[in-house]
Amino acid sequence: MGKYSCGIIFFLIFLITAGLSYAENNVLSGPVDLTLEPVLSSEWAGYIQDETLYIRRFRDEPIRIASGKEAGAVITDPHILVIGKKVFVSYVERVMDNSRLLLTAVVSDKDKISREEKEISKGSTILQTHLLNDEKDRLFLIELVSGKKQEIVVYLSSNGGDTFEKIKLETDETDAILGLRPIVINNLLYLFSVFSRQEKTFVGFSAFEMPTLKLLESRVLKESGGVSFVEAVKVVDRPMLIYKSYHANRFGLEGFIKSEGLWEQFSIKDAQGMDVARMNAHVWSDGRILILYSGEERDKFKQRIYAAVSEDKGRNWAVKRIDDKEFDNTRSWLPRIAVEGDKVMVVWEDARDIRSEVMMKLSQDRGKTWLKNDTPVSDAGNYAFRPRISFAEGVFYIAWHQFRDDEKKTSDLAFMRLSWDDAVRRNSQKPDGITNEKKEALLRERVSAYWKGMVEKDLKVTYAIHDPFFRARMPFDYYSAHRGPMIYHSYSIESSRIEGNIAEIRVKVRYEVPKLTILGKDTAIPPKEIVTEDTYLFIDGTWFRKFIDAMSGGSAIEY
Amino acid sequence: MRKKFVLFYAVIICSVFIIGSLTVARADTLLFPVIAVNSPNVTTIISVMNEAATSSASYMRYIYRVKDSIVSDAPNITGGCTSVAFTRPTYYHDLVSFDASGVMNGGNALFGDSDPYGGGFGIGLTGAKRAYLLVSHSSSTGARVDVASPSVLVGEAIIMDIMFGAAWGYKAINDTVRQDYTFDIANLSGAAMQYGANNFRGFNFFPMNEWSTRFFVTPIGSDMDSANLEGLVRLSTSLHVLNRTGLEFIFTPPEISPKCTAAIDLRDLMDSTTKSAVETTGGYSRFCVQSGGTQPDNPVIGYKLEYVVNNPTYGGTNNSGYLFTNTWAMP
Repeated sequence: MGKYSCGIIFFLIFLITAGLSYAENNVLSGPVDLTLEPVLSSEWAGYIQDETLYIRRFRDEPIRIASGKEAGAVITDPHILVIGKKVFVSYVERVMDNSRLLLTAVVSDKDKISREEKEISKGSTILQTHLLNDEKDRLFLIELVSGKKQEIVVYLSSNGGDTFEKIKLETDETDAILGLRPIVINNLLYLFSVFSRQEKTFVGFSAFEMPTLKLLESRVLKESGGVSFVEAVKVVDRPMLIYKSYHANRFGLEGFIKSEGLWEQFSIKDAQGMDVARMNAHVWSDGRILILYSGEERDKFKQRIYAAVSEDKGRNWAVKRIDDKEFDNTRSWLPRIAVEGDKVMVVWEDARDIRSEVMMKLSQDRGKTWLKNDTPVSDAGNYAFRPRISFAEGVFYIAWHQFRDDEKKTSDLAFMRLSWDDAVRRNSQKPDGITNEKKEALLRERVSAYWKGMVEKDLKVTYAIHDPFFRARMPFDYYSAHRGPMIYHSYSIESSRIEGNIAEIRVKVRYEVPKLTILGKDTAIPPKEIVTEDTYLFIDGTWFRKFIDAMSGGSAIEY
Repeated sequence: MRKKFVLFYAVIICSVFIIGSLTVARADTLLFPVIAVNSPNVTTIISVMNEAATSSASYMRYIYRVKDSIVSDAPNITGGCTSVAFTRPTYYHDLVSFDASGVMNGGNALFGDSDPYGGGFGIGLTGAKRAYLLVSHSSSTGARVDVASPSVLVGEAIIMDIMFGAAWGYKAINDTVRQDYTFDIANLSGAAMQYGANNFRGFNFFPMNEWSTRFFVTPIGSDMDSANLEGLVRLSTSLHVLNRTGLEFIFTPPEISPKCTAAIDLRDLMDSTTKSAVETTGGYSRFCVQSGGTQPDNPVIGYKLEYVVNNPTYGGTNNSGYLFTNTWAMP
């Protein structure tokens, strides 16, 4: 065997093991119902496939929790909570106005799986549910139900979910509770809410004392405009409420924190004027708060990723943009965070490469500084969206949805596990880029090829230059049969402008329509020159003409 | 005595002339609220039927109020319009169809219409344009002419994509009382909506990751031949956006001020949190006309357009538009 043969064999072995390693750290489940975002807690992911709710741990086969078909219902609002070896899964079986709230407790120990199911409530219209625990491992299942009046009901278990006590909470008069976030601190259940009263919207809270959940305190914190989301965070032993506000025609992020019996208001100044899509927070035991959020300013820039840090319980915030893209003509949004000690891993949905992918960013010092590169963790060939992240037993877990192909019709749940060291290694590998000069030259080449094809009526060429999302939906036969009656005679590229992976091209073309039948009558368009403006997208290493429907402005891809 | 007689008749004759000159010149006027052109793909075919007796008016005045569809790579919502106007002859039962882009048949009357109109009917501008069109009875110099009835002009428009064959259309709006360039919501048989009672229209929308939903909105009011009327629209603050299981997503809807005429994407009417929540499900909301802005409370006429790229689930490519501000199917 020659020396080259050995080298080839070793190379092949390397390729196979690398591939296996990738496969070992990624699993797919599906097709899933993509209207429900992935659910992830610890090392367990949840998803709905074929109207059935499943959970799975990374290495193991999926566990079926409930079938909507068998129940004659739709499964909605699933939550997963892991306490020790027990995995609690709550969900709603929705049947118009007669829903059931159910809880399944799964214990998966080596090869043995045991489960216990409980019907928690039935017969009402359940608007929202929450599943949480406290430091004493008491389990809280909270439902907001509608009827003549909205009610909040807590199902409390102090024995690991064996039995539950139903407690209807005393609440102030409101017209409607629009958003609810619970948190348990020092034997008090805080319910932060957005509610309406006499046609005004407020943020406020109620505090209930354990174990009877007797109302201890209830207060309106502020009247606010439309509040898109509220989040509750525990800062050492203090409850904090953060919400997206709207005042004087400007969005903002503000909140309240309990301090010495008073509620102190704060706002994140650098988020003022920004339309924040979503936020995610982590608090360390010394009170350091890290919030990740994505925000945009209309007509200025699309969603970007920001990290806001406070070390004085929210009074002051240091905000830093952490995504590293050159142009803001694509969105980076919906960040999620997981933490191991000082190490922070953030993932978000990113469209800078047009086909959305899950991007990762790392900090080794609690968000003070961030490693330079934004690292894709999903496969570049699959449109990936709505990532979640968690940390358990030394490993980070990331789950997201990804379409199987560019038709974007069928999606799977992608589930990945990643050690910190692997993440850092990935982060250090910057992918080979293309120089601006080469990119511009390639663009002109592609635009010329397209218009040459239009002049020569080479539809195979012009079809192939259309963006892959359009081609995934539009077969060549349909495309070629609907080319319209135009005959193109010549073209010249007038100007081009490239910003990241999006280019705008102006091309002067000469065309005519010798015969056109409209409403049963023949007419014609004599030869004339026009300037067209096209958008090209840099995808998979080359440029594609973006299909844009001329009447509606719609296309097959959003970014 | 004779002097008094002459003076008396002089006064009468003068009075007749004075009264005659105080009579407001009126003409029946049609409004085509949505015109879209973008050669070579998109055009709007306009058809106008004149049912006014010849003795009343021998000409029609065509006034396009037009603007660029896109400015700085973004839809031109708040930009004003300029006028492109011309006068063409007409007669009783004259039917004329033409391409607003001016491309087909050079902008002249279509379908073998041999009438000597003396010119084309197109906008005469290149590039992607958005406009509305007013058509009114006039003299040869373009001044409005009195006709017997306020409802003798009838019009239709079809907006077409010549390349793919998609099309949607509408009937032109005619004020049933007025004949000038002012359109009063009270006289439009429920085609428009305004701030006040019933200032909203409910609508469904499909998943935004697949479908595009747009609203073509034209504010109406006084002097539409020259004024850049503004409206103020947004989504509902009482119902906000609902998904398909009745879950309501609360947010403060942005207020948009369409000027002259505009195409507003549904995405621009929501905040980013709501968009992310209903992107894959679609849902329901209400389109509302508000009070305020820099102008009085102008009513609006609006059409909703929905589009999906060839998706076999929906039978292929779909491009559907309809008048949604009408009162017939409230809310």
